[in-house]
Amino acid sequence: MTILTIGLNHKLCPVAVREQLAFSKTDCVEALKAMKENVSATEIFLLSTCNRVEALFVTSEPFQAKKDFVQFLSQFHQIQSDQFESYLYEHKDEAAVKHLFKVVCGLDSLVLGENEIHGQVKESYQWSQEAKTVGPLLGRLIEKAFQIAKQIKTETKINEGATSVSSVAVELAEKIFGRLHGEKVLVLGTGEMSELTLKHLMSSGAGAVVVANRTFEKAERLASQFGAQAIRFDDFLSHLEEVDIVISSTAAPQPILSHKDISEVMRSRKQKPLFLIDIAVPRDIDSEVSQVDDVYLYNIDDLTVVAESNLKKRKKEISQCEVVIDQKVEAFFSWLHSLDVGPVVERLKEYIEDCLREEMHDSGIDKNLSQEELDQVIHRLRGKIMHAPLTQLKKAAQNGGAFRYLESLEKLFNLKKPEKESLKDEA
Amino acid sequence: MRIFMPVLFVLVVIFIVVLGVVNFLGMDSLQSTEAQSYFLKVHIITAFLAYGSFAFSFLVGLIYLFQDWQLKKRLLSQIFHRLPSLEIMERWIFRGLLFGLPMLTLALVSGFVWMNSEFGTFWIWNSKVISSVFAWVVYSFLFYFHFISALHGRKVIFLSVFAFVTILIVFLGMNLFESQIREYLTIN
Repeated sequence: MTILTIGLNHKLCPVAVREQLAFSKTDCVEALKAMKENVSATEIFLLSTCNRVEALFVTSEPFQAKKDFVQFLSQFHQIQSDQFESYLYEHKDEAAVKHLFKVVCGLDSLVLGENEIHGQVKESYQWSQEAKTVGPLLGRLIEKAFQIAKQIKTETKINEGATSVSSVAVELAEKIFGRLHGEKVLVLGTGEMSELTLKHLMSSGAGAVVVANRTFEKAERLASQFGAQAIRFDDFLSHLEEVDIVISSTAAPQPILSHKDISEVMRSRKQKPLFLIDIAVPRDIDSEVSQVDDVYLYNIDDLTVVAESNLKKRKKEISQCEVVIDQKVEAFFSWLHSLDVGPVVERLKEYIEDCLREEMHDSGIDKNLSQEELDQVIHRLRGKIMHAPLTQLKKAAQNGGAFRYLESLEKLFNLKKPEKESLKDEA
Repeated sequence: MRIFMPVLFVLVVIFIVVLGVVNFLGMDSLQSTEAQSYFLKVHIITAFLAYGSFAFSFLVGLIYLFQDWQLKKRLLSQIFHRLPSLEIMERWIFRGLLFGLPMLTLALVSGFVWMNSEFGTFWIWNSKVISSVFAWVVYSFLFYFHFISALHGRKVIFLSVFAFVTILIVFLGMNLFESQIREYLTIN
């Protein structure tokens, strides 16, 4: 039995190929059900995000499983297998488990340490439960991965600090206003960057938006996109009094907001804090503005510096995360190996045989039999008693799910497991 | 993070109240006639509740000023990620004040009533009395600035931090001055 990962991600595979192989949310359950029929594996987990498509299998024929999966992908997405096969990576057992743990912890993500992947894996897990493709082994493995992700998030700083310009802007806004709840935003000038920042702010809870642009039509277009109000560019100063956040990205060659403007605005705002995001080059807001009390001015360079330093801090945490992950991989396999069917069955045989011998001796039946006859009777009785459970166990072992039975047997019959007890607890 | 501020508030107030009660437990006056000791008890409890919440506002005010400075200088250190937002801190600074000011008013009234029944006068020139009245005036102004004229931001908060420090200095300074006078009087 092998744990096998096959997939492709943003590191090796270009987006043009990735997007052809991605499964939409609605496809996933169907795809899993089809895979159950066509791929030679007993358990299957499928993860498809914008940065990766990968599947995790429990199989006794890894080579065949890979072949089946490639064929399935090619059929499902109507794409020639030679177009993507070279991008596929493949991990087995320890490497596969380590890979899964790294993925769930965000160590394999485009944005190092990001959170989103955790939710995506959770969602995929639900789908594979729905399609009944995840069994006891992958189930346990994925639950374990969630635990580790949680542990790593609390014990390291891999998830700390925003790492893109727009998310730094949101983080700063939250440091000023708390969790955003309807803060008003003024957008000066329409551009891709300001749109992205606005989108980020709105999805974090910012409220009403006012858009001003030299070309009024452009302002209207952006405004309609966000359910905002478009205003004439010359009127924007009068709106400064009521907004909390300003995103400025006009093409003006000179600053459009001076120290004097802002001082006056702040007086009429009664010093309510104002967050100015200047992503224009050349800058829209005079740098002296930051000297005004309760005004927090960040230009594009300031935001980039914060993002980069946060990313650097995250990178420093990688090695610590890997130490934790390596430990957990080892613990997982100790647990898995401790579940070999053989020793438990041996101990169960011994237990039953002891019981039989004792009873026969106590009741005096053994006096009427020769030693040979006695052994034969005991052997037959034991065989009869163990026939049904052994058949079930064998079946379960082939599916990689024997450990649940083994655990029960050990508990129910008190079959002691001398040295491996501690390893099991760790896993 | 949401419970950080309320928990800090309760902790600081409890700390100051316990400190105060332990300090005053052995006082003789507490064993005097019932009506008198009742006012004294109210006075002591409300006074320490008031100073507890002012101490809380002072502490949070310091953190606010630190965070404001970090945001201005764009120095976003490790501790920056752990601190609450400016808006939340401001809200709690003035919540401290909103609770502290009525408590201080009660403390002053009960204090005056007790003094009158104990010494037969409403006013004694004493460091505690002066600094309490001074604190009441300063915090009333702050209350007015924030809640009536709706002033926000660094300056008001700086004022609240400054007020607490001034009150401490007035209290300690007057105390020192009084003990020197007492010394002088005993020598002569």
